Amino acid sequence: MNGLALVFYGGILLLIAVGIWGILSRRNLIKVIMAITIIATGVNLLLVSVGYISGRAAPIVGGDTGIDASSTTGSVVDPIPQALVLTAIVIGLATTALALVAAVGYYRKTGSLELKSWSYGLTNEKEVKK
Amino acid sequence: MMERTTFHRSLPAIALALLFAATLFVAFVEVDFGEPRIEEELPVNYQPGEEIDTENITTPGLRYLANSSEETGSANLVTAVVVNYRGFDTLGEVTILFLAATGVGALLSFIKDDDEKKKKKILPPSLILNKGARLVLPLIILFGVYVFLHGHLSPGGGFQGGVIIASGMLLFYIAEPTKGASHKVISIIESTAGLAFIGLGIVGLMTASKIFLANDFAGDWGEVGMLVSAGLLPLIYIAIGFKVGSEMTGLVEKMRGDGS
Amino acid sequence: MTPDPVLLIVIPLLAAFLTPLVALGSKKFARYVPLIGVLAMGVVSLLLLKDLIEVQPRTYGAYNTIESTTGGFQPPFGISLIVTPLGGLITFGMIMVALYVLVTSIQKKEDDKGPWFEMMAMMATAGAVGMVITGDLFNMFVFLEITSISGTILAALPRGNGEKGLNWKGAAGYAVISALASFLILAAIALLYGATSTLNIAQMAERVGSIDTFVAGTALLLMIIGFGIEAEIFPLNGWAPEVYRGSRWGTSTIFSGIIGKAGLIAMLKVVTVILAPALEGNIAMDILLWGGVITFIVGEAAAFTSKDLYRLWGFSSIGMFGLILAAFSLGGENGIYAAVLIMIGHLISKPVLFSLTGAMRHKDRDLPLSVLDGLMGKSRVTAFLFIGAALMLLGMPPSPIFWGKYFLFSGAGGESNWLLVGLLIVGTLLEAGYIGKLLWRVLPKKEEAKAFKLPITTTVMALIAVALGVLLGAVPGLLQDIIDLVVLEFGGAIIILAGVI
Repeated sequence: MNGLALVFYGGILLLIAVGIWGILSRRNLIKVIMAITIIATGVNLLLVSVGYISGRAAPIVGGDTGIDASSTTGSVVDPIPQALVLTAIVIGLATTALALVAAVGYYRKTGSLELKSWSYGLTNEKEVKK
Repeated sequence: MMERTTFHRSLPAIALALLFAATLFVAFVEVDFGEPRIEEELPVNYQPGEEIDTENITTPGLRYLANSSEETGSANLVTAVVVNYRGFDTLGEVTILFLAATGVGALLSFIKDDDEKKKKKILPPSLILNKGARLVLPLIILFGVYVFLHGHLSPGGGFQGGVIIASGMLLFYIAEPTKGASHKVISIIESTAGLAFIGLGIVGLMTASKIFLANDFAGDWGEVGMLVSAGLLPLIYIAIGFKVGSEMTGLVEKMRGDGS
Repeated sequence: MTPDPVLLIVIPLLAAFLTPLVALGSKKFARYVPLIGVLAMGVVSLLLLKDLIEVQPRTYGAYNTIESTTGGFQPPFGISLIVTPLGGLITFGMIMVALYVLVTSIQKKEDDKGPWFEMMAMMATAGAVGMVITGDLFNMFVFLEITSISGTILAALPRGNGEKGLNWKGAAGYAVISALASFLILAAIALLYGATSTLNIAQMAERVGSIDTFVAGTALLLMIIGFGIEAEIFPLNGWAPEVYRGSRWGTSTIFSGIIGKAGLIAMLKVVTVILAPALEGNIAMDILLWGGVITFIVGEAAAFTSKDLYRLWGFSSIGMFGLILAAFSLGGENGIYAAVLIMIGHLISKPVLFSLTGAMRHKDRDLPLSVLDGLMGKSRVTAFLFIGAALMLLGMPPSPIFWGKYFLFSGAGGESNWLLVGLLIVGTLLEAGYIGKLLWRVLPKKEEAKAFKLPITTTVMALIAVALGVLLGAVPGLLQDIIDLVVLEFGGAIIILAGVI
């Protein structure tokens, strides 16, 4: 294990830990959504760092990059995780937007953002208080 | 109201979160960081530029590096993966954004019913913001168009270009709180761009390979690195650029809240 | 002629992009676009299923699949779609559930705002179908997101005038928890990609043997949590009752018949194909088996104590998910037969129960069990359909679930797993308890009851579904071919169904 791995994986996973802690300990919907976006960022970073190869260039050929089409192998990083992250970022955005709208709707109807009565119990049949 | 969480009450949550992160850390450290794992199938002492036998390569990442320029005609390998090799994912991703934008609009229309009466007062923006935005907006949109047109050549692409355009529109909305693009126009651009993406995919079903989203014109037009090259790839990125631009604009517009 | 399986995804996407365009012209007509899309999907999946059964090589250990690639590259370089026997069957079943929901709800006036319910129902189905048939792990994640985003929107669409905001509560909970689920799955995908450098499920299964056990175990944990949330497995299902309680009956049907099932199948696919071989012994399947059994007991117990009819059916669905998961993880011929038959029975009976419950509902009020009082006097047709579907769910013959439970008990008994047998009996008794409780309310006639008229589409669709269930329960040999193929897919030998029965 090299130092860079410690910094990258350690830092990213601390970030994810912050997000998980937020989800577990907060009941305010906006804060929970913030925690989710923190986790999303952390997971995206994880994906990118999985594709990193030390000392390699970005996977673009020609122009000023100094890499021509025949010598990409062995001189650039893995392009797949970067493509996946692009997808994952957009997905994270869509999820956040919808969660926020649900929070707005919940707030308008109940006047509260607390998910306190969100039951993990089995017989919680009480009404949402106005 | 302030949310008060005493430290000892959140201890279990902290412990659980750290345990989770530690488990993941141990697992990820097993995945060597920064090592060229995708290149295990290359011959020993391989030097960049040497010929390799791509027939025997089974690792997708490695084969993309070796063959991409030839197979897709794109200078940007990430674009080649996003639009061509994994184009099906991208179609799904565009759909997700489309669903979210449509859903936000549909759900907000249920919320709006309730507070139709409460019209909020809008503060007029400052002169500098108002005039400055008018000056910068065309440039931002031009830059966005540049980014998605050059998606196969340089960093960026349809998503990035579309988001740049939407950020310009966001500035416009801040500068002109009472004005907005028509919902109808946004919706038409959105749907048409989506249909164009699927249409370009169906072109693949019609041409030589009979495979959805296949890029059968990869080598037919221009050289690698030219603006006109990479077959259908830039066309798909243009459709994505329009789609993302209009969807993000729509999201901002709908979330602005006062309707129009 | 075999249609290209990619059509199962392309058709709904086309219809989804067209819907808002049509809605600009006529909102009324736009609601038929998703219906047409789902119908077309149904035709494609029926043709695929027919092909799977007819072209099968009837040799031991071999089964037919229909494959398709996208992007013009052979897998593992392009994303491929693979319709296996189980995938083909489930795909067809899910599309039929969607069709039931769309046809039955097409006349409702609830939505004058636009065709959003129909469109999202179709997209949830498309995402679920994609999850089941895709051959690529990351693509599965993308489809999971399509499903959970349309699921969130469906859950948020209010029932009636949405007075109490229960729909928002359910939707907010689901939005948050499903986002968490998908990022955990994404982390697992990052881990597996790092360890194997591939995303193709088949290729990953080949390479996974050489990876570290701890890595595989962590990925297993993340995948089980992530897909377990979608499949409503205890204790990851806290969000589900709220969604069932606050949303429309159509949404509940889609969650119980389509989204949950897709999560279940995706979990099984990931765990059995990729992760189980990488771990020693039977640990992965054991986790799933006992997780399933506990979910079954807890779900049925919660249904037994539930005082709201929607929540009751929701918990009963959770129980069924547990039972199906347990049956699949038990494995062997008996387990697979049981799982498939119970799944078919559930897919047939639950939409009927949800739609009848939906037809009885008051505007935006919780649905206390007392709405069932004297149903026999109010509407004889409704009562008969209700009783038929409820007994089918319980497994009263002739019902596919009866045969499913028969095989499940023989499987568990055959392995002398008496603890499992005992727990299954407890769950079944609880189930019999609440269904008996409901029938007790339905049966007695009350003079003062106001007559209640079931909408014609609901009557017709429910009749078709109940008749189909009775037919399949009376002559389970009709399902022989396809279930045998599923057993082959899971690597077992064939029992001759007709011979046993």
